[in-house]
Amino acid sequence: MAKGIRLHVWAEYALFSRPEMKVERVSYDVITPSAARGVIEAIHWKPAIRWRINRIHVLNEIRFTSLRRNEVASKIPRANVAKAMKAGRGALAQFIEEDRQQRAATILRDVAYVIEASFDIVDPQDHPGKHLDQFNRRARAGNCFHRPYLGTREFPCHFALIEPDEELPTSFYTKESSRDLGWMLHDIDFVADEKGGVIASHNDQRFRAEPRFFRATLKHGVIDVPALTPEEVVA
Amino acid sequence: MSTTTASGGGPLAALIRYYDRLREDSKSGIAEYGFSQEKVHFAIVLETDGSFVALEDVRETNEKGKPIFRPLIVPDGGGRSGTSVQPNFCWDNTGYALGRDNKGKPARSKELFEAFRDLHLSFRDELEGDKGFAAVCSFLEAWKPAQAEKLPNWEDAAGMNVVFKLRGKPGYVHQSAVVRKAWLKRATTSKADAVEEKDNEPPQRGFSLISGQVDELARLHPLIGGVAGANTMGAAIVSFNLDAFESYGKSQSYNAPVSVQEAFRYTTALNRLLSDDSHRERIGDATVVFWTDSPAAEETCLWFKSLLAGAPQATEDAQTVDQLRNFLQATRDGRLSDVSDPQAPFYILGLSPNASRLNVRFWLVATVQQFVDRLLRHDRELEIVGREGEPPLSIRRILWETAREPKDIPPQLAGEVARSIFGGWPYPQFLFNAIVRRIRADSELNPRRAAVIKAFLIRNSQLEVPVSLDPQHTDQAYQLGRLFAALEKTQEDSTDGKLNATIKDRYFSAAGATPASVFPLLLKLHRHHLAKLDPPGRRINREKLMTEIMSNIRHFPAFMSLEKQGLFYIAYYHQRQEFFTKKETTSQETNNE
Repeated sequence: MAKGIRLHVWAEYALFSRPEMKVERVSYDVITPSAARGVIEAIHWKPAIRWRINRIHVLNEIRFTSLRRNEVASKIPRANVAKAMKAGRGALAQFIEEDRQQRAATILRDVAYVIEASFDIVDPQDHPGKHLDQFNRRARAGNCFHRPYLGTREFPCHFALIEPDEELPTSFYTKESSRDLGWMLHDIDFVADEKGGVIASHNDQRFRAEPRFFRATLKHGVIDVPALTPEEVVA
Repeated sequence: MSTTTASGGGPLAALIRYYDRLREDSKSGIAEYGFSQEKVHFAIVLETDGSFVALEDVRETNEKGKPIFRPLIVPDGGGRSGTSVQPNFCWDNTGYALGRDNKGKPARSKELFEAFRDLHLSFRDELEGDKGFAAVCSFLEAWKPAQAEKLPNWEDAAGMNVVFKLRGKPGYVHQSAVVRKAWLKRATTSKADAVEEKDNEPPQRGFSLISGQVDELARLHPLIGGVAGANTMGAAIVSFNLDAFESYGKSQSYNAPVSVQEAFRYTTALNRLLSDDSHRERIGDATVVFWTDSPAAEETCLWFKSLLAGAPQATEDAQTVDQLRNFLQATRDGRLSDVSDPQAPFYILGLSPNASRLNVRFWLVATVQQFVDRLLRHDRELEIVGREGEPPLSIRRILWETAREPKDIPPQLAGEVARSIFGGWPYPQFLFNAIVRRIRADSELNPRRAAVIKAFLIRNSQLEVPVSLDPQHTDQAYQLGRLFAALEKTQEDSTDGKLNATIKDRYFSAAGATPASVFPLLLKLHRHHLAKLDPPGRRINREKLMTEIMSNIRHFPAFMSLEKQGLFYIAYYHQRQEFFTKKETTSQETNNE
């Protein structure tokens, strides 16, 4: 497959929240496929293509640190928005000073990964070579739609394209045959559901958000990511 | 690093493994699903026909000889809140079980007793065959709450938790297999009903992210008690108590799919660790628990505890220090397998409170061997002349050196120091800065501070720092530190230590930070001090030392980095120690003569 790309990403901090500890956040040990997809999509994405993460190389030793931040405590209720839209006026402001919550986070530091990804063409009319070239050109030049980040917006990352003939940087875990990282979030799948809590903005269609998990194993510093299909990942 | 590490899945998965390990060990007495460990004080003894025999004291006695509760596994009532009337099954306080307590509200007690009675009678048909339970039912039907106050030991028992037993029979009523089975059946179905009634939301089934199995998911997780500074009612690691924490239209803990069974298992295991003194210690604002997957490595926990906090109590001191010495010696000799299971996974979980939630401050997984190696390395880095024979520097002692009083220690720092030691990573820069700042503020350079500075310079700056004085050390900062110590000593000796402010009080921190602005002045002063030094033999010796040090110094730098200042302090400390040890040996010699 010539559609594959390899991207080297690194940053001082990263936070890939475990869902069971996403209030007082605790990061997974390594980047999740959905976060990796986010990084790739920041550089190049069009509705015609769908990225899939194939492998993740963990380059640095897994290290944590912790911090506390002030965040807002509530969401503006959807009903209030609907009411204001109907009436043409209303208060939708949130005041951080009155509605503060301190949240702690245990985050990763000094991370570096190589993401191996490829993409599927959604629209059969489209040509894959065009998107591949576009991605490579943009990544090489350092262009992005928005700054890619590792897990949360507060932790932007650097990136560099690894050319096809270029060698991969060595991993801290090269000598380790196998390390079980437990069940890890693969990505969120959206399933059409009349009672679902997620609403598509353009046509009011309702979806249910279904997290999909896979068993992550680090072998010699590399995680093989299964495809997001029901046979390989569980909902 | 070449072996397989089976440790993943985060703290919850590891806690569940610990629970499963305890479940297999019949002696551990860990509660099964639907049951919990509670503090029981008395037992109501009954005849088989339900007539009351006595209120038996089942309390244990603590070290001080005072009676304390007996921990017993009983049917889990799920906790009560506020003023709700919610009786427990086969156990409760005397207000429920006997209709009288020490709160002086007979009407309320009567209500409680009736609820307690009705709950048990509702099980009557189902549990007809169980003699013990039948006796309890007959007893509850016939009992008049007013009788309670006439009991001989009522003063002690009022308000305490009680269980039931049959006279002359071993065990308690709730321990019968039939009663347990009936309770578990009721507990699982009624819980599902309760959820349905309250929220119109049937229990959800789904993928549990810990086991990877499809199971009934927990909407709320049981609370965790025993974390210092958290709500006394208990707090939760997994809790979505504000709507900003929820996403994708999911409510409460469905945002973090964990099965009901698993939620029970991890909270039970964690609560047990938190209530067990040998697996828990406090560092700063964090409560730290540590455990291992292998029973053979249990002893490592003790060792850990003493390194975290120092020896616990003066009375236990000798024994703990002995154990610690044995352990340390064994590990140094590479005989760790004699005392422990070196390849067993070892876990360290630091929890700190954030209102009703708990925050995982640190989470570390490695083998016993890896942790021991890291701690030994830390211990070795701290090694410094002048601390011989003193107990190992615990994290708590290290932290005390960073602030004027313990309450000034930033809570974050404690966790970071612990993390760096357990993880084998660089020490936090703040630790070094704080200690240097303390030295500047009070001009006190004690062995503990010197030890911490040394460890920091070795680990973070890769500087070469010896354990004791190294006159050949090539670094300028080191020689300057020695020089300052020598200058100070001459001043001390020339005035018999009768000065209000020595050069150390005045110039110590400046000499370390900006040597060029201080040393010329000090050297000028030194000539005066030297002139006053007698007998002449001493003066000659000191001059010799000065020449030796000065020959190693090329110039006085205008400014020294914080790291070099650290080295300056270490050298000063080494040289001081050298003066002291010399003095001791000479005075000993004179004594012998």
